[in-house]
Amino acid sequence: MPSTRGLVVVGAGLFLWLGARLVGSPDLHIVAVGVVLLPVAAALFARWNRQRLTMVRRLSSARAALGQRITVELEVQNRSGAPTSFLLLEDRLPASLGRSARMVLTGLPGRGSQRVGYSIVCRARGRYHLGPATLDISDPFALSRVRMEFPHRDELVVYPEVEPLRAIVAAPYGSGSGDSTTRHLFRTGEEFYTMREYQMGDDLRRIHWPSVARRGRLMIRQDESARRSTATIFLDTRVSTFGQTGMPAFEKAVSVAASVGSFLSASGFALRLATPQAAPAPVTVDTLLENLAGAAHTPTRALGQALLPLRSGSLSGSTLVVVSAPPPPAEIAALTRSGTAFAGRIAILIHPTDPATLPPEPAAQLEQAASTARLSLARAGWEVFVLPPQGRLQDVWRVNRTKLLVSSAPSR
Amino acid sequence: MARQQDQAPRLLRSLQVGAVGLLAASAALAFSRVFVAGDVALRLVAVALGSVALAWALERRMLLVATLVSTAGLLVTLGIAVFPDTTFYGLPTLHTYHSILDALGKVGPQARVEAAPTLSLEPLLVGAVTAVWTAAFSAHALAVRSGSPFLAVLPPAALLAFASIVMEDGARPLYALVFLGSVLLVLFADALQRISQWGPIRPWSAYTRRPLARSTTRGARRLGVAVLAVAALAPGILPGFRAPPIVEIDSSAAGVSSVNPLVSVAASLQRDDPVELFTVSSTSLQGVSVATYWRMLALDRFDGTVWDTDDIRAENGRPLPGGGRLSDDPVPADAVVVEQRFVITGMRATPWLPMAYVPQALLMPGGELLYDDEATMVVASDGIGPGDAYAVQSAVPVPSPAVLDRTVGFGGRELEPYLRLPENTPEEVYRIARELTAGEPSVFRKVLAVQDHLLTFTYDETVTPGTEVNAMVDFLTRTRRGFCQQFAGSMAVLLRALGIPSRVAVGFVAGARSPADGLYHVTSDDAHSWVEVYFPGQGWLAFEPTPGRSNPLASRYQREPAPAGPSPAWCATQGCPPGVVESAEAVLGAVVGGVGRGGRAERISNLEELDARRSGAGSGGTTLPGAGATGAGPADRGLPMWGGVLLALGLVLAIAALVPMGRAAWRRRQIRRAREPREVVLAAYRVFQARAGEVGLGRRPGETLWEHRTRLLGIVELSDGHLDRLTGIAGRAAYSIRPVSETLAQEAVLAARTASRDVRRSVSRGRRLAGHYRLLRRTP
Repeated sequence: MPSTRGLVVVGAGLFLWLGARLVGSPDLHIVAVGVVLLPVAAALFARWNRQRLTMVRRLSSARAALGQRITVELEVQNRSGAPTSFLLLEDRLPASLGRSARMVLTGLPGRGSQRVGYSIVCRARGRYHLGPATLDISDPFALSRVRMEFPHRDELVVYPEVEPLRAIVAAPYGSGSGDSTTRHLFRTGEEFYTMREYQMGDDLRRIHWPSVARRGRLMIRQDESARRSTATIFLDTRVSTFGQTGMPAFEKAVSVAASVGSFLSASGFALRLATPQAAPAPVTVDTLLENLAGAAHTPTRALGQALLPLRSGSLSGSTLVVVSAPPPPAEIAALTRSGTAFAGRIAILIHPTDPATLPPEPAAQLEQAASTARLSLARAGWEVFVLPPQGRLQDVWRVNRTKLLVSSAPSR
Repeated sequence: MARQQDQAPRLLRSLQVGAVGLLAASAALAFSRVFVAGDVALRLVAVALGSVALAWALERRMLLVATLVSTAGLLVTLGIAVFPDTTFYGLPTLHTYHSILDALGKVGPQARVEAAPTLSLEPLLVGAVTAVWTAAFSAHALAVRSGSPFLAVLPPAALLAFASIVMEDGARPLYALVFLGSVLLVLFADALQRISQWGPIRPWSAYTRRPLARSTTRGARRLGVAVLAVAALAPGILPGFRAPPIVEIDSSAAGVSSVNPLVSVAASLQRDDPVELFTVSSTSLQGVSVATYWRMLALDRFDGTVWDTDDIRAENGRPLPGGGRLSDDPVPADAVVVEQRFVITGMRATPWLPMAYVPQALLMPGGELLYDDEATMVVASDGIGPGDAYAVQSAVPVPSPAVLDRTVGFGGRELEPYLRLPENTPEEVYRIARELTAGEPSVFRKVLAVQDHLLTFTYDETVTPGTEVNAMVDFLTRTRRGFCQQFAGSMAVLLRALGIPSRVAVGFVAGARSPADGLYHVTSDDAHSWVEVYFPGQGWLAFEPTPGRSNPLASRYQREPAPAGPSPAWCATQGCPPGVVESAEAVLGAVVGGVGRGGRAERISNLEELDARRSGAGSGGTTLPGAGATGAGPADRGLPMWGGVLLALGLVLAIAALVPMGRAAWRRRQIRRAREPREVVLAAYRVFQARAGEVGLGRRPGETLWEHRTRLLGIVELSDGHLDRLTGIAGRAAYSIRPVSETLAQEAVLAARTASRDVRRSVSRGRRLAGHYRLLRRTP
C-alpha cells in the first residue's frame, strides 16, 4: 500500500503534470510521468518483495538477575528466491525494558538470512514477554509499506534483587555440632550420621567414648536429621502495606523476601512462600525467585485473615519470616498470634516511605509505629529488622544472624 | 561499530547534498539550452554546484545568515562567470559591482526582446546565473533544512520548464531523464534519512556494514531504471504529451515582442547545428530563377541599446485574411517582378512572413494575416510553422545609380522617425559619419561611402553581440570586427547622423539553390540583417554593409556604375531585345541563379488572378499544397508575461497553502498512529516540540525536558500548568517504568495542544508564518 509519503509523491507528480500541461513543456511532462509512476512502481516492488519471510527470536538467557544485560538475537530468513528491499524490523518490548527495538535490514538476498541483535538491560524485576515482532517491507524510496507480524512471544523473567547475606559460621560456644553449616542446621534430627575427630569448641557431651577407646583419639558423634528444616516466607503484598507494584517499598519488600529465601535455601531450609492471596506452598529457590519476579500488589484485607493459612499449614519447628511494613497496633496481635505456631519467627519491617524524606512529624509517627511494632514483636519472641525502602538488608542482617540461627534450632 | 554508527548520518547527509547538487546541475544543464554558446552550460553547472556547496557549508547556520552569505557568494560568482575581466584575481572589484548593476538593469529589456537560443549577452547571463544560483540554494534549503524533497524539486523544475517553453524545441528526453534521475536520487536520499530514523540501517552482512552498501542501493537502482525507462519510452501514459499548452501565454497585451528578430539573427548564426527553415521557389515572370533577400520586417526605432519598432506584430495593420493585394501602386519601371512560393520546413512560431521586398500580393489560404504598410511586413497572427506555405509576388526595386545620384529631398516630416537617434549618442558617431562622407557629391554617394567603409571591416561571429551605442563606437573605432548585427545597426546610425532616413531590415539571405529541385533552401545560418535607406521617389532600398554578404538584385545600384540603356535587371526579367538580354544576364550573372525550373503552377502571374484564387480559397478551394496546415504549427509561445506571472503566483500560493496543511496532517497522523498510551504521550510531546521548533523555541541539543520547560517559562507566557503537566507526563512516558493510562495520554494531548498554542502566540505573526515553512532554523 502506498504510504502517505507515496501519496504525496503522486500528488507532486500530478502537480508537475498540470504545470507541464499549462505551459506546454514536454520535458516537465516526462519528469511528471516518472514522479507519478514512482509510487506505483514502488508499491508493486514492495508487494513483489512480500516473500515468505520468517523470523526467529533467541535470548541469551530466559532468566536474568536484576541489572543483567540480555542479548536478543533476531534471525530473519528470506525463504523465497527474490531479494528484499528495506525491512523495517520492530520487536516490541514492555516499557520497563525500554523502547521497542527497531532496525532496518537492507538487501536480504533470496534464500538468505540475516541475524541482528540488540541488548536489554534488566532494570526492573518482572515476567516479561518480548514481542510480537513486526516487519514493515518498504521500497527503497519509502513510498509504500507492507506489514507482516510475527505473533510469537518469548518470556524473560527478571529476578528481584538478591542481597548476599553472609553464611553462618559455627559459634565457638554454640551447639557444638561441628563446623559444617549444613550439619549445624540439621541438628533437629536424631539419626546417627557419622563420627569425626574432636575439634576445639565441640560439645564435650557428644564425645563417643567407645570410638575414643578404639581410635585413641577424641571422636565426636554427629547426628543427622531425617527431615529438612522448613522456613515459611510471608510477603505482605497488600496495597495498603507498601502501595502499588513498582513503588520503592514494595520492590524492596520483594527483594528482601528473595534475599532471605535465597539465604535460607542455601542454608538448607525447605522453603514455603505465602502471600495474603496465596496459601503457603513449597518452592525451590528458583521457583521462589520466579514467583517473586511476578509478584504484584494485592487488594487490601485484614492481616489476621491473611495470616490464617500460615497457622493452619505450619510445621512444628519451622521458621516464619514475615516481610511487611511496621503494622499498626491492631495488627500486631494478629502477627504475634500467627508466630506462635513457629519455632523461629523473624519479622522484617520496611517503611512504606523513607522517614528521612518526610517532614519531622510524619517521620516521627512512622518511627514511633516501627518502634512499637519492634518492641511488641520482640516481646513475643520475634527477631525484628526494620529497614527504610532504600536500606540494605545485609547491613542489619549481619548483626543479628547468630541469634537468628539459634532461634531456628531450639530442639537439639 | 560505534564508529560506523557515527558515520552513518554523515554519509546519508552527504548523499542528500550530493543529490541536491545533481538536481541543480541537471536543471542548469537543461536551462543552458537557451544560450547558443556551449561553454555557458559548463558555467551554469559550475554555478549550481557552487551554490549547493556553499549552502552545504552554511547548513548549520541560521537561514538568514546563510542567505546573506549566499548572496555574497552570488556576487563573487557573477564576477567570475560573467565579468571575469573586472575582477582582481577572481575577487570582485568596484568595477565588477557596477557592471553587475548595469547588467541587472538591462535584464528586463533584453529578456523582452531576446529570442532563444540567444547569445551570451551579459545581462541575460547575469539573469541566468542568478536564477541557477537561487534555484540551487532554494532546493538545498527545502530538501535539507526543511526536509521537503518535493518542494525542493520545484525551483529546478521551473528552470527545466522555462527552457523548454522558450526553446519550443519539443521534448528533449535526455535533459528530462537526467533531471528525473536527479529527482529520484533526492527522493532516495530523503528516504534513507527517514528510514534511518526508524532504526540503524543494517545492510546484508555478506557485503559490508556501511549504510550505503550495494545491498542498500540495489533496489533503488532497479526501481529507478524501471521508472526512467517507462518515462522515456511511454510518456504518453499521462495525457497531453506534446499537446499545446492549456494556457496560451500571450505577451501582446504587454505591447512587446517575444523576440527581437535582430537578436534572433545573431543567435541563429551561432547555432552549432543549422536547421533548414524554409524553401523558396523564386522566379521572374520569364521563369528565370531569381535570388534575393527574404525580408521579414524592418526595425525603425533605436533607443541606444537595441533596434526595435513600435508595432512589431502589426497589430494596427490591415487584416489580410488568406492574403490579398498588398499595394495598389503600379510596379516601378526599374523593378524586377519576382514570384515566390514559400514552404516552411523548420521555422517555428515566427509571426513574420519572409518575402522579397516590395511585396505586391500574397496568397496564404486560411492564414490570419495582418499587413503593416509602413514597415512593409506581413504578420501571421498564429505564427507560421512547418507545413505552412504561401505565395508572394514582389517588385524588387533596382534603380540605377544615376537615378539615385539625382535623388534629392530627404528631409520630409514623415521621415523624421527614421532620422531619430537617442540623446546619448556620442558626438564621435557624428564625427565619424561626417569624416566618412566628406566630399561626397550626393546622398546616394554618402550612403555608398559609409557602406564601403564598413565593408573594409572583418566579419566575425564570435564577437560580443549587441548594438548598444557605446559598443558601436568601440566597433567603429577600435575592434572593427562584427557580424551583420553590428554592421547594419552601425550603418543605420551613421546614416541617421547624416540626416539620411534609414532603418534596419531583418530576414534571410537567398540561401543555397538546390540543382535537384531548383529551390532555395534557407537555413538558420542564412539569417541576416541589412540596412534600408529611403530614397524619395524610389522608396526603401536595401544596402549591404556586411562583408561577405551580397544582395544579388540590389548589388546593381550598390556597386556598379549606371549602364547606358535599359536596366539589365529589367531586361533580364521583363524582356528586352536579344542583345540587350544577353548583356543584362551578363550583368546579373551573380544575381540570377540559373534557368528557371519547369512547372510554375502556383505562380501569381497577375493580380487579377490572385483575387480570383483568393476568393476560391475562401470557399475551401485551397490551391497551395500544405497551405491547409496553416495554424497547425505551434502557436507563438514567447516569454511568459502576465500569464506566466499569474501562473507562477498561483503555484506559489498553492504551495504556500499546501505546506501548512500538510504539516497539520502530519501532526494529526503522529498522534493517531500511536497505539499505546505511552506512545500517544510521546507523539503529543513530539508534536509540541515540532510546533515550538517551527518558531525557533524547540529543544536545544542536549537540553532535558525540564530544562526546556524552564527556558520556555522565562520566554513565553504560558497557561496554567499545561506545559508542566505535559513535561511531567512525557518524562514519565519516556523514562519511567510506571504505566501510562489512557486518561493520562489524553491529558497529555490536550496539554500539548494548549502549550503549543501558547508558545506560538508568544511570537510575532511573521515568525509564525515563517515557521510554517521551517525557515527559522533547523529542527532541533
